[in-house]
Amino acid sequence: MKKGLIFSLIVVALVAISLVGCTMKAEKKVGQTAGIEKTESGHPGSMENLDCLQCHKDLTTEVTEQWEQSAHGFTGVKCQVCHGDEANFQAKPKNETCRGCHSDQFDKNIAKDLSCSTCHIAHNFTIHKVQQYR
Amino acid sequence: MNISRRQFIKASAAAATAAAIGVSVPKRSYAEGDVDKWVKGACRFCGTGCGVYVGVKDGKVVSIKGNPKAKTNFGFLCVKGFLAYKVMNHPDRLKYPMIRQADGKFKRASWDEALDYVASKFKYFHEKYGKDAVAYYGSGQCLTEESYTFNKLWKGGFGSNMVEGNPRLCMASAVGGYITTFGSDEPVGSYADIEQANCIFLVGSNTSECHPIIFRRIMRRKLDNPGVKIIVCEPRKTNTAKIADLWLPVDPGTDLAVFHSMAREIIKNNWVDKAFIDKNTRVTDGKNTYSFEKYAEFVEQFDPESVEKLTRCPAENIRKAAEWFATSGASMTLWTMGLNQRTRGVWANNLIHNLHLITGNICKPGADSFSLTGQPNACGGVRETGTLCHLLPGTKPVTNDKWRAHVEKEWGIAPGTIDPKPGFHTMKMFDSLGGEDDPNKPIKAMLTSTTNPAQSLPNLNKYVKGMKDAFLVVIDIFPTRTTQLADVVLPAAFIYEKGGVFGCSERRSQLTEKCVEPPFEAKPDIWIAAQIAKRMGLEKLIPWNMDDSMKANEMAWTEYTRVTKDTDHTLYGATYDRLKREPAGIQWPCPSVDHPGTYKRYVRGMDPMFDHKGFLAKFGKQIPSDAKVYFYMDSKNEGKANIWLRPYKEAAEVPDAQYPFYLTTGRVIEQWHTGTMTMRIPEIARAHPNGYVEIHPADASKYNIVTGDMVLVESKRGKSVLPAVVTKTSMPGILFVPWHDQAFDRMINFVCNDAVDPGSKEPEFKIAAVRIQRVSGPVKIEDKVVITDINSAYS
Repeated sequence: MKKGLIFSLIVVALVAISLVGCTMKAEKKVGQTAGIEKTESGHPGSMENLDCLQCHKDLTTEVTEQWEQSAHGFTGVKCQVCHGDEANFQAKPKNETCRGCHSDQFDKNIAKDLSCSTCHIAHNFTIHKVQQYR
Repeated sequence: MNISRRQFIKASAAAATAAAIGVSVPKRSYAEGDVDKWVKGACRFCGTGCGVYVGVKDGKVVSIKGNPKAKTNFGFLCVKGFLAYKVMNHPDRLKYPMIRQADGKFKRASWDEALDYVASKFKYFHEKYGKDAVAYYGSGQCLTEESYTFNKLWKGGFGSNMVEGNPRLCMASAVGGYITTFGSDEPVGSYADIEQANCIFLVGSNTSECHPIIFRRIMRRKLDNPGVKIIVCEPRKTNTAKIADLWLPVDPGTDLAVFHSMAREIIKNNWVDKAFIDKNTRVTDGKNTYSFEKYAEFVEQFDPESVEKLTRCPAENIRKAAEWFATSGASMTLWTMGLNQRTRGVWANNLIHNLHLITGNICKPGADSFSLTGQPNACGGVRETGTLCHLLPGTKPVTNDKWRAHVEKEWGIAPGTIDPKPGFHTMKMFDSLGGEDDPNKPIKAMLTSTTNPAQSLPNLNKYVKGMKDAFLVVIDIFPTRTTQLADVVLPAAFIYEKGGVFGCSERRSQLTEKCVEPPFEAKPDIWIAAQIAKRMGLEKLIPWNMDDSMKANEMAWTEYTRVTKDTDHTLYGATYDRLKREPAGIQWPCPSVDHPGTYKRYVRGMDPMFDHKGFLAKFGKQIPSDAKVYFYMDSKNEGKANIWLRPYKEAAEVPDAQYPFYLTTGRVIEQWHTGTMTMRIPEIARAHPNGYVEIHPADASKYNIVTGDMVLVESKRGKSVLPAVVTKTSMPGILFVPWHDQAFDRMINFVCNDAVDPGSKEPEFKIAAVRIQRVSGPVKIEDKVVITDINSAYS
């Protein structure tokens, strides 16, 4: 059962990697066309004085909804906790960020070259867990 | 091609989604050696007591991670604790002592100059106006050693009980509830009951935002065991209700009737635990004792249908809640300010305890009546050390002749030094504070530490002048609304720059080791207290005046635990050495170094006080050998807890034709109290960068208000102008404002009510009657307001 789950995750990951490659190119193109500069830290445009969710509720609805139903969503671990501020934005949080709450797992991680989120999908991890419990 | 910023972000949403869910193979991100050392400690913020490790590199704190071995948080942290270290190196830190000059501006002073000046002024006021002319106002965020030291200096040194702290504003009603029901302050059980509870009743608590790590445990319990019932009783359907099976909406202050009604249903359906009631409880109104039948008769008036009319809580929900609570096998209630910050806060606490007592949901795994503390050291630092106007160390009243004599002996001071008369409670203390030219204000000077009363007191308009006119000394790490009224400002060290003990909600004391040196000339409070003592001829009383804060802390802690050795709150076995070694701290009672600490009180085999000879002798207790559960601090010495007959009483102020709305205030997850720290952490300042007023769509439509409009919120006492957020979170007729915003026009505490609970003296922050008016459409307001200029005006 668990092996099957891991295999499925790997397949999903591989598909997503190829998607990321495509959409990254698209993002660059759109950005260039629009003339919108990324901030120094890499966030696409200024965050101004806005809470991340103020834009992302509308603009990345699917991600927001996944997050809302996740353990992070229930407990108020909002976008900026992991992804940082305008000054230190990280599209993919570093493992040191995850360490803040998951230090034991960080220390025991045998695949230190990989990002935690490679396997532990931070936005919808709970859904997967809930299904396990059921 | 023209594209707006929003369109651009939407266009790249797929990329953002994929990147954010983390499915691509990353570059190496693991940085070994990003810190030089990890130092064990506790979180600086709420009363959960999360264990942390503080990461130090090159003499600076650069990171915080959760302590996986901590029994409170198991390694998890909320956003505040995780990023707390960012305040430490903030450029706004107070760097030097400062004294206000004749021109109204502050001037840098040396520590000697500042301390000499403070001591000379205190001496002057003592001589001219008496021992009670100088007050101390502390905080549930001071370390235990600091609160103990200030308390000793005032009560043992000055002979004055003018000692208060901000726990009066948040936890006093819980203290009153525990003492009047069980005879002794603080919870019977522990957080560990969450994992064993089958029904969790969250009342007057937006746990998900105010105690997020406790909420995580509740959420995990629910996710792991979907059959566990979660009931939320709140005027607002907050994020906490997301995991709830049942919401009991109530108008603010009316929940007393809901609790009575639940009790009625429990009795009517014979869901009571008769054996527990007979053996371990008595029914009382405070004067007389009655039969349980009398209690049943009393609650009969609270039938669910009548209560629905009074409270707006559906009768069916009350019935369901009563059934789940009584029949789950193990029910746990958790609450905080929603019950405490009320003129009937003690009663509200009593009525929750009643539900537990009549169903036997106490003194067994998973069953407890648990008050969540707001601040990290309100329990350990203020309640347990007795740093309030009516208490002494061990949470024993100053009016108790025997205990006063005991403390005087332990402190090595002359019998009769400690005043048997309590000082003034917080609101009275601030009402009595004023200038020398005002004969109606007997308190002429005040020292505050780690708190911001010029923003956090209710009905601020009434108290600002007194703070401004009096001689006010403020110990803090940043400029605040209170430093704007101060005469002397003393720069404090942050917890990780000095170390010390915090005691959290579950009777657990945890030691934080000093991690780094304080910046510039900032000093630990314990050093400041000891230096003032020295200058006032009290060096013998407070001998821990050395520069080494951990040495001073250890001396203060060792003395404190010796003074309280034989009390029901004993931490005598929690020596400093042991606290350094213990990964998760220790829960009292812990009478000896070989005792592991106590998960549950009043239960034989779990609670060491059953066999603690020193305690039994000192307090004249005899516990029958066959008693499995025994409330040994019962003032009648019968080992029983009180089921209270408390009549229904509404809030001090309810809506009327002129002020038709209820106003309630609270916190949001990112912001802590008055925002002096959290508003300086960029990642979280952007979440809720200003105060706002939540309005139900039905009300908004009546007043032609849409989200973003500026709205005047006005009570009999004061007003605020805030942007509106139209939302169904609260019921119609109820407004909500978070209170962290420092912008003068948005400081909602000008509007709040300062009426106090007659028992606990805690003010009714949570309920005010207000009116509203649309002022304008959306306007650009200043976000993330913090006081940066020490010479700025209170306006």
